[in-house]
Amino acid sequence: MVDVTTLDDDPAAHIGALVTPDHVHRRLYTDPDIFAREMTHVFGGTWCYVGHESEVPAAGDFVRRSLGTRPVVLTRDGDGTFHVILNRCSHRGTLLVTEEKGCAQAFTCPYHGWRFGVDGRLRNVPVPSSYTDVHSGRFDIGSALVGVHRGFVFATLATDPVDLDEWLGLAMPWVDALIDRHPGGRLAVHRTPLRYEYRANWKVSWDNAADGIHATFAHRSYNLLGKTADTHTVLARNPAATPIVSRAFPRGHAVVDQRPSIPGGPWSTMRPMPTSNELVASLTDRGRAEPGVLDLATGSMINVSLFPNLLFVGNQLMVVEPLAVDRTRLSVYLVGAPGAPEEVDLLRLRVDEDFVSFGTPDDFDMFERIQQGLLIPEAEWIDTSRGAALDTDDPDAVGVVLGDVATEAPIRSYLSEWTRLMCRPSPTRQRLSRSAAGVPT
Amino acid sequence: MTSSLYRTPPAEVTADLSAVRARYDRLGADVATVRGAGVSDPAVSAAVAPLVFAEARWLDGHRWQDWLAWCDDDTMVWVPLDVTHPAAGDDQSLFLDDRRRLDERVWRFGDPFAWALVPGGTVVRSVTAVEAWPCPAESGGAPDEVLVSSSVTIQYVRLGSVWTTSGHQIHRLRARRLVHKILLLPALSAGTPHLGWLM
Repeated sequence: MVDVTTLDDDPAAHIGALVTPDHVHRRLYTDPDIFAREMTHVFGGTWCYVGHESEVPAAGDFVRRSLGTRPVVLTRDGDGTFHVILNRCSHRGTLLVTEEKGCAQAFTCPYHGWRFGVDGRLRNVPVPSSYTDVHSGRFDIGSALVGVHRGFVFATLATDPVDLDEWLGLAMPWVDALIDRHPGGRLAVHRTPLRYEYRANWKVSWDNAADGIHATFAHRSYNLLGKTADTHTVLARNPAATPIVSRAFPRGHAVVDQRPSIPGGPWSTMRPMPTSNELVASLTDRGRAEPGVLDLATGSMINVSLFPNLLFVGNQLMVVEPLAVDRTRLSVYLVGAPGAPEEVDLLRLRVDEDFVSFGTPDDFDMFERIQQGLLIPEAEWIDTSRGAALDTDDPDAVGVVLGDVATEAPIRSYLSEWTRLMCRPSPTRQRLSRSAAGVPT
Repeated sequence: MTSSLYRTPPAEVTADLSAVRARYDRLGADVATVRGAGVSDPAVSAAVAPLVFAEARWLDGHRWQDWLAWCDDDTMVWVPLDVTHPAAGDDQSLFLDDRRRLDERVWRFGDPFAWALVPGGTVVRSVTAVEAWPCPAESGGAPDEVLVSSSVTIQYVRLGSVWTTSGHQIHRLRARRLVHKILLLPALSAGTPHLGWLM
């Protein structure tokens, strides 16, 4: 049995012992102490996705989000600058913003009436004479460092974060490709996410996201639906003969490229959807039913995972939100393509629902079965070695590992980054809008 | 209805696109009509209430073919994610099924490889507060169409886990058959287990 008495006592030895090159200990999925450390060292200790610019298009717009288990608010100020502020009044710690989204000139705490700008700066305090230095900046709301890549807003509380571009690294061209498939590079996130919760650790969905071979078995029911409609989804192919390419990047990011499996293009994998016949007929009438346009209605067949919380799957942004060591929320945001014909976005709505109805439930069933299986203390280790002997280095990108449909290289890669982050000391701090001498930050 | 994602309307609207928009609009309009309605018609309510009760019994009892037989070829079932401002063509839904996808949903209940449904759960739908009105002409309703509003509590039990939620449902009936059903579940905004078993 692995003995981990105090994670802060020599974390490199204790945490490092839980992850080997080809195994991971079950405590990563079941130990509340490890989960608590993840909330500072991983969610906060590195860049996390918080939202898209289309969700806060105007000055004063805001959406509530989380950074691990921290409540935060993504805002946009009058200059168009994004802020990610901790959702906590700087006076007594009261949750400041309770609406999921909105537009505000300022946030006012209902407890004692303190008023803050959307950038987190304190504006007004009733009876300010209670303090001698109330407007010195020490009561500004703490915030995270914000980085933006082509409309995608990330935040971190890391003490010494790497530049966002460096963090994206070799995964960046893949993200850019997903953006650039939209006409004009324009994306718009629909206003209401699907919020599904499962009773398992957050990393289970991370393991699943870049696992190409599970689809053939876990999604057998979905595949049979495809065969019934005489479409053969990529999920239904013989896994041993499916030329899917997995790429594992530094910092835990990954790509599963399914395109080699579908010479007919993404749209060829789709069954008829509600109103799809009419919408395709409409595109045909307008002379816009070329394959490239129809392919826009479904996903690119390239799944990109940005560790630790953003999964690009189809036309969805799946955001992994840990709630407890054995409870996770997956918020699914559908992306529209404002530059495409309207029929494409209407098709996207119906396509979006399909896998959520017939595929995602089976994933969640697997997640919860895994969590139950991992409660067995005597069976300590999970093998992560699959494909290791066959993986190769990408000749075109240093540091990238290539694997086939069955490789677990993405799992090994993110666990390596997880270990690095978890072993770091004191990784996070809040930022204040204005520096204030003597104020602990 | 034009998606708010679009800054400018499309240059050309085909008949097919108009038909799809109209179909989606009708769903949203029925929600608005019921929310703005006055006291229901007692006779109409009494006449259709047994149908809504029977639907719950058929679905709870996995009597899928009886339920499908109550549907028309163009029946739709819609579960919007945003119950405050539901918009079938402008926002994500949990699902908006046509008859084909309803048939697929029923097929899945019998598929031994639909892991999330094996073993199957037990569902109890408690339907109350049934009110009904003749469809207003401006809503595109035929003379024999009726709008039915009811409250529903749904309890799902599977593998030792119990999940319960409440909501509203709106049925549009034509000659006592189902034109469409709208299920408004506020819990969807808070986060739920997967609802792959929901009909």
